[in-house]
Amino acid sequence: MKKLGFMVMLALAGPLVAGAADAEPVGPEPPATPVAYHTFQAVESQLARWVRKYPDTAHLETIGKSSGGRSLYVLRIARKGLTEPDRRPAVFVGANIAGARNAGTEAALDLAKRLLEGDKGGDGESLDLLLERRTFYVAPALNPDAHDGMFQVPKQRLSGAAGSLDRDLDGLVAEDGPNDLNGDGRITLMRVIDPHGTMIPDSDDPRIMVEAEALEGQKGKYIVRMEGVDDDGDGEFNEDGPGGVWPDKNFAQAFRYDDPEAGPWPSYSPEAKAIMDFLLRRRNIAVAVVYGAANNLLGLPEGFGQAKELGTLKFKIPRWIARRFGVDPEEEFTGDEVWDMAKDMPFVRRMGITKERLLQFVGAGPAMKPQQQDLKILENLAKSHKKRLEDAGLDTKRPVRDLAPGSLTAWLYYHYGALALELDVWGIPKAKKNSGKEDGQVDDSRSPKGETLTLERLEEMTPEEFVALGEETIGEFMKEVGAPPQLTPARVIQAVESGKMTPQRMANMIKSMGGGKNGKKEEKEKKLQGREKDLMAWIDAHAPEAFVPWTSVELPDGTKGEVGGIDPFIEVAPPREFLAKALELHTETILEISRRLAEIQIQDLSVEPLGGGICRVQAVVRNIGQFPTHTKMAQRARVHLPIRLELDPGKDGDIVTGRSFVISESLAGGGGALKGEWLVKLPHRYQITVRALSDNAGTTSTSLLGDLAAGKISLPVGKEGS
Amino acid sequence: MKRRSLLNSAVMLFGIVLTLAPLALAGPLQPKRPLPEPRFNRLHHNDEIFDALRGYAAAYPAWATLESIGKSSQGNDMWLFTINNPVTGRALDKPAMYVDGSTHANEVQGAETVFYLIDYMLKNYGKLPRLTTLMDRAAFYFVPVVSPDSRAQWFDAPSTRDWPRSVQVAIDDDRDGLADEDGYDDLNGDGLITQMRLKVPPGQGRFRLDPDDPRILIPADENHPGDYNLLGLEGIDNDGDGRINEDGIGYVDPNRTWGYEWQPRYVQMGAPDYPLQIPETRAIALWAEAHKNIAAAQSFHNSGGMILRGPGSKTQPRYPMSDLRVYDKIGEMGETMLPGYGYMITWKDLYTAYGTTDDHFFGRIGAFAITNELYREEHKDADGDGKVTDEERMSFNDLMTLGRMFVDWQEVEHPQYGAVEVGGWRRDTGRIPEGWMLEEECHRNAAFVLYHARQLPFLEFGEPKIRNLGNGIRRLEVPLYNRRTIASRPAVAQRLKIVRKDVVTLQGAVVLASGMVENSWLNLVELQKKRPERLLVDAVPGEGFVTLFFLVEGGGQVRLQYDSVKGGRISREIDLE
Repeated sequence: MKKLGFMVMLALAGPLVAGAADAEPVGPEPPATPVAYHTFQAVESQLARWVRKYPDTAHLETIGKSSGGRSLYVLRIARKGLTEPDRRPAVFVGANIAGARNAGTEAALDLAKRLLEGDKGGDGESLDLLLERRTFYVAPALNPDAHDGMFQVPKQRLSGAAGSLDRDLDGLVAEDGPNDLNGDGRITLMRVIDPHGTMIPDSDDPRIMVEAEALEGQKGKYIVRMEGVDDDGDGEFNEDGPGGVWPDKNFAQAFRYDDPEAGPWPSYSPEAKAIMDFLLRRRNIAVAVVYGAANNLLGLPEGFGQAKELGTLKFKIPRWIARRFGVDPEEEFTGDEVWDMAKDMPFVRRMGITKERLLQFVGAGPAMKPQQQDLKILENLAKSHKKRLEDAGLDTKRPVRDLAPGSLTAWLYYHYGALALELDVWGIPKAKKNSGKEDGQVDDSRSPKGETLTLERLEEMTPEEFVALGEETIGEFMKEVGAPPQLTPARVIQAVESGKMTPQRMANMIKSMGGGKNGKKEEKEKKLQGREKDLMAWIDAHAPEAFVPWTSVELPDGTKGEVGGIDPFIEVAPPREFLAKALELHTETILEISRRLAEIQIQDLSVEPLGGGICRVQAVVRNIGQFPTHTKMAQRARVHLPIRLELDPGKDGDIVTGRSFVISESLAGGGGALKGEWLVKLPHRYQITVRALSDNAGTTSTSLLGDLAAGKISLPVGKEGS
Repeated sequence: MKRRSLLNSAVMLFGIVLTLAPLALAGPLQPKRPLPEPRFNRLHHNDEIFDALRGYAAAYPAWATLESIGKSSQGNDMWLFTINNPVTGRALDKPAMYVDGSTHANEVQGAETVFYLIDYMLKNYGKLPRLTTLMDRAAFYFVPVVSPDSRAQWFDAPSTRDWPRSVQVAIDDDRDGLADEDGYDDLNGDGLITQMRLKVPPGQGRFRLDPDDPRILIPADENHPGDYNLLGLEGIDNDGDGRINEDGIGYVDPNRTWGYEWQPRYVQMGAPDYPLQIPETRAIALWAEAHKNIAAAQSFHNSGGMILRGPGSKTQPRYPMSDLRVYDKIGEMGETMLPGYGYMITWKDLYTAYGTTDDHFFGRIGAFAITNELYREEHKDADGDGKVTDEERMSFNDLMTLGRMFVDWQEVEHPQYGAVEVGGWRRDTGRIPEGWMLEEECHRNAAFVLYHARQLPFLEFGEPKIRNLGNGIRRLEVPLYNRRTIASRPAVAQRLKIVRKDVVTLQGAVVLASGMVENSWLNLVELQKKRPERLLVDAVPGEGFVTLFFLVEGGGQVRLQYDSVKGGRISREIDLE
């Protein structure tokens, strides 16, 4: 029997492998059929058709193979322009590395289609022109081994690439996955009456199973678990299912070392490695959007739980450095204290050591939270994105997930230095029919008066301002950061009034206790879990077939149970026609982002003869885009080249003093400038060239031909060159 | 007599296989080809080491294998050497020790130590009983050179005592858009990179010549204005950016690339873009992932005389207590075997490093990993004040090495500075002992590895207790001892879920129930909930035991098998009657 279950799983995996092996011959555009989600094979065919149809604009690169040997594709979309595509400011859009986020694949394909078909963009600028200045890298299916979970029988959410794991450490791999007991072609839930059962049908909607509340006089009856049997007879159900490492857990930021699904180390999975290797060869990417499980525009990313931030983490200084500072090596210091000691020391000044540099040297850790300046950009993007959602009649208040530890998006932001965000494309809206209390209380944790307290605000407050917030606001904040219940707002106010506590110290305490985000995270998680009612309301209204009524089944060991519940995909991938508006507006958001990217331009180039052939050459490079050239995180991680402005004095020209270049770690959006000034000895007839270089804000140069006799020559606005 | 009892325990351990094998095998190994006869009073180029390894593999084809587990950045083979007694079973079925060297290419004698150990083990099997029993029950894996490209470059090209430390992957160190465009230059063409010093007008220098020995610079003071400056290592401003030697070959430090508790470049110098990005350590990590029988590991670096263990960073969770006891036992013994060496914790006593070999082998493989920093310069401390001065070094150079260690200053023309003097200490000084001292240090460290390996789990069944309960049902209790310090499944492996549980099976009878005896006298037994025919055991603790419990239906001979990833596979026939 046990063996049988395992065989069933193998048999089910069979057609999937076979299906992808024979690539569909590239034929003419298929006849219009009702819109459907793309299988991985359909994605492959679509990409191939586009490349044939748009050979000048669409360039397909296979960046690697999945664990199961399927191709990982990136479609580069760019038109011929002044700068070669791989040097232009670029946007990367990667979809469904999560495996079961097939709506993301549809969104990525929608973007590609829109760009290739080339209609008019929002600001009147045609997409064709945009594609001469920008490059889009679109990867519609980054986890092809798991991609077809929604098409296979039984239908089930898959996240792992091909392979197998021994999650339960019993020496057997993938021996106990879910089983389709009622033969309806999908894996739903199973409920079994059990003396240890804690669940009961909900009194309002008996289709939903809820935890029994002992204090309400309720008594547990059922155990609820994923549909399946104990294939390996170890007493656990479905604990070791099919599939290998999850690519979207296999990246280095906040990697989970104790999770077998995350893989033994970041980059172990061929998917993760191929994606990183590709992106690291494309430093022109400024913004990266991942269509996955989280939504960073409906809820800003908050960082990762055990944040150990520079400045607040306490650590001992290595003996030999402590000796130089003249402090006790056994004593612990915060990063701020270490910097205070070090900043005026001769070797620190002489070697230009920054605070970050020093702290990493003495052992301070990595960034675990988004930098404030970068969040501001996301906040700004969220405004226009939410407006689009509202115009389309889509919910902006539904609870959403934050970035997962070890995810691609987290790596893109924290390590790769892109402005990175994840979007879930579509989600079940909040049910309208809820009682007034819940309806009025929107998800947005800000109170209507705007009197919400945040950690950042707390840090900057005077004690008086803090006390003035009042018990209610302070109480809400304390709940949010997970303060113990015995610590009442009144006691906190008293402590601050008496001077025993300051807002800054409080903020530091909260941060060192894990950033105060745990409580908030838990609450978020709760909101996500308590969504069956929203789901049922939506299903009843739009897709009644997505609920499988509870029906009896008999398990191999004779126990009776019932199988039923909600379709595994309905929450993340509704019937395809419901996606139309969401896809269109997500494409619009990506186009908006691409127009706002940083872009450098040389301006105000001048040559001023000072006599004797000596001239003063001045030039300015400006960021004419809206975003800064570097995210704050990229600056901290130093993963991008600085903006560099360099002078080539031409034949017979000579720079009299100093270096030929100046650099800046970042140019702000909306005109941030870097100025270069050189003393140069030039021949009578000269030709100088000024070049501005960047990783992801373009590269440009301007030449000036002149004669010393003509006096001062200025070029007001530079012409772009390549 | 001694050898007999050792053989007996081996027979007990590997009963099935050994009964087929002639006992005479425990004599010295008979080479099938002439053996390499290296001398360990000098350094060896990679080619010499790998040639010798091929020689051992050819001489002892059943015992020694040399295989390539991947390619380096420049396409050279990553050589893995294995020593395993074929008579006592496959390497993968035994507890194993992993040893590597020269992760940092400039730390060249790391490879010498591994080379010495291989030579010593193969030539002394069957002669030294303590070594023989160890080689009978454990497998040994060696990667003598973790960074082969750069170690070859250290010998073949101008290099320094500190460089090349990284692998041969070009990185844009100075962030100017060009990679490796401004490294060292051998200005005087002597095949060495030494120092540059510049004579300047009195009062402009920070140093002056030592009046007793003009090879040495001493600091200037108010009575003696300086007329010399040190300009750093030999080199010019190749890329015209106003800086010298700021973007040389390489950058990535292999010992910041491993896959456990790794952090990126802005958190620590030397890190690549993601863990195990470089092919050298990735090849080893992928190989090790399939060899989790490794329960002990040692890496050879230089210098300073340290026996280092992780964690490399404070951010890691504390080590489990039972694992700490193992480390402390091995580390403290190391201090007595290696005079002057100190047993230390990396982040606390040295510096913070994320993604080190030690952390990877402990946190990903579950092996007790130690890094030895070879060589201390203290023997040059003539006046015994605890410091080695330039004067003392120079005196050692003149008297003991007849001037070999120091390259005299020589004037050369520098494109930016004009006439400069080039000279200084040779690359093979300061971090590496002179030849006549090298062999002793190799031996002491090899002996320490063997002590470390001796702690590998050593499992033995005890005498079974059988009770007939009637109706053909029998109650069986079998003690299982671990005679050594390392648990069959170290606590870290349990905590991080990186090594499966030990599996016990009983063949020849129907198993009705199984579990672990908590207290035999009080009849306390923790039963396994389900699947009694496959009893899962968390671990047999170091220098401890567990007692296995079975309720079986049937009689006669049964065969009890214990299968532990790190403890090896053992079995025992039991007569239920």
